[in-house]
Amino acid sequence: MKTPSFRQRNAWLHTWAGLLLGWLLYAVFLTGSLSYFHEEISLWMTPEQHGSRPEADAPLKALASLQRLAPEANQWTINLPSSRSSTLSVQWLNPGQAPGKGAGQSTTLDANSGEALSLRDTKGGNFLYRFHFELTGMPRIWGRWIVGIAAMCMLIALISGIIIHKKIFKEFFTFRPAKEQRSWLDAHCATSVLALPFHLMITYSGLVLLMLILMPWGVQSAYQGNTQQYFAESGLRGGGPGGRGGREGEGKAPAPQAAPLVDIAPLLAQAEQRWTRGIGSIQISQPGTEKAVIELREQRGDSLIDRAATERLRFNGVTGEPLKSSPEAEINGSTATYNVLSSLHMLRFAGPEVRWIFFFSGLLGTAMVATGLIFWSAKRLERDPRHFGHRLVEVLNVGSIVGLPIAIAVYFWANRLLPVGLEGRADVEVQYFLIAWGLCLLHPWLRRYKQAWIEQLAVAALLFLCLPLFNFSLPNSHLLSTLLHGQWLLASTDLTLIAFGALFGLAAWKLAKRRPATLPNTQPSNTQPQEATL
Amino acid sequence: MVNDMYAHWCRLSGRLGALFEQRPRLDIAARTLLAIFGGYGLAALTTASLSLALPMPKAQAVLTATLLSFSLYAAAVIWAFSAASAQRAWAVVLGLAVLPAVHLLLVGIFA
Repeated sequence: MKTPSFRQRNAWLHTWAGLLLGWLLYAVFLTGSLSYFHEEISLWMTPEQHGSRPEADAPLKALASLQRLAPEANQWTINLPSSRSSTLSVQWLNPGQAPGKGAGQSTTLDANSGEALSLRDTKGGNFLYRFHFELTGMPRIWGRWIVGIAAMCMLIALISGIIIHKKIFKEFFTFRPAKEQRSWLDAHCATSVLALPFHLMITYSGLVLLMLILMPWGVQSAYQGNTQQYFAESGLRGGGPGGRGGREGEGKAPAPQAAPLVDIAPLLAQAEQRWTRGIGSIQISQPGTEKAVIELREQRGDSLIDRAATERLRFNGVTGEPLKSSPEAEINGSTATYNVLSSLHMLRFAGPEVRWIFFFSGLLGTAMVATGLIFWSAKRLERDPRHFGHRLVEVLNVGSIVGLPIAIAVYFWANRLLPVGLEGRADVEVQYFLIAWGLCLLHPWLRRYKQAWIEQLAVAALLFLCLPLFNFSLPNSHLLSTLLHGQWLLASTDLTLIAFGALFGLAAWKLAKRRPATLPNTQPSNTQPQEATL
Repeated sequence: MVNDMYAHWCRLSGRLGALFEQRPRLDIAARTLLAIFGGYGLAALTTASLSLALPMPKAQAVLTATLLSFSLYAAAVIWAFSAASAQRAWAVVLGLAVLPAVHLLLVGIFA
């Protein structure tokens, strides 16, 4: 027997590296793409916030509310509305509480009235964000390992895919529609090549973000596994928001004298003039005393290299005199590389345009995985007789490629329909997501392949198209209201849901219309290539 | 002595090659094993060794080595499937692993 060639062996590698964890990769790509808008999704999922439309005096209203809500607090933090949020989020630390991430009390305020809002209990977009690297329903570390292994398979599939793709440029312009598996292959190649740099970047940077779990051996040998010391020396963590906050920890000092807080409006004006991006947050330590310090922080930055470090301005809280700010840490070569990779992956720096480009690139990656999986089953059917493995691939294809979007839609519906006061509401939403996905994985076992596709696509279309309609039952959340008030975050979420619903509907309709072309006895994936753009 | 070892390797390689040619599944299995575990082992050893050896501050060395490790792993996997024969793929990966392994052993002994 002739030994297989270099290219054949890489084709084998490409097929199996892609297939074995392909459905997981699909889920990671899809939920990861949605994570570029996880704050927007969270906003969409808490309609209580939708009436808040910030004006210029929002910081003063927040301050007035804090003086009412927490007059005794040691520290107040106010996160101002930004291009991605329309409410005020405030935190405060009561005497004796240690500063740190997530410490103290927090609440969300309406930016117009300064009143505290009671938001429904939901994980919002954060669930999708965490799912894309930790999965759900298992210890976090397992989830990260599994996703890390999948990412490594993705990297291998990408490289071997490039190797076997002989005429990468010429074939990019080749598309043979309505030719069964040939069309799927062309769609697979087009979605891969079109965003190849993105796919490579997102896969590699994903691995880098998980590197201390997947490849702890450098820290193990140089630091004997002491990760804390490594972080302290490398400065990789602690540079982010909240890391350096709350330096003033003097609890034993004699209680400072009471003194009124200076009028912060002039300080804000000074900062607004200095920063084109505007003020992101305000932190006031020891408010109402002679030791009060006001720290203004710039709105999140847009530089790749410094991990979007922001400038701070500090003022004496009684006199309003400027204080010296702490110097920023220096950045060297490999830290810069790490920062660029992680910022690129997490898109810490970007405005809405880049966010949309990354979102669509992520969807192309999702489509790349989906078309690859469908191509596998279409091609195998031609070569081999049906067997269990083939059926399994078909079922998993339908149950994840359409099943996951259905599960996400059900998650959104649960968010809208479950009673607001329900015990453990946020977890119940997630349970609905899991149940829906489970049902979508069962359903294709009971139906013929093509039938399963059509039915799930139709259900997905219905679920997505009706969500924006349901919003008309809420006072401030429907499209007319959001478009009228220029609340683009909400309006574009609704419009995206409609676009998804329309795509699923179109795919279902095309597929239902289509007659099996060549193989009358089997039901291969006689689907249109348009579906690849899901 | 070196000549003897080389002759020994040639005989072993020839025998393995004949075996793999008869049983292609065995060839694939050998390459897959090498790709998954050999590749990770090589990447892990090299990362651990470079973290100590790179001429830069310790934290920087660790970061640089770890950033590179995934490229090395990927390269090892591709190599495992691209080499002309499975036994050759194994020999090269094992050979590359000797240097960092010896380095780490020496560090361990003299630490």
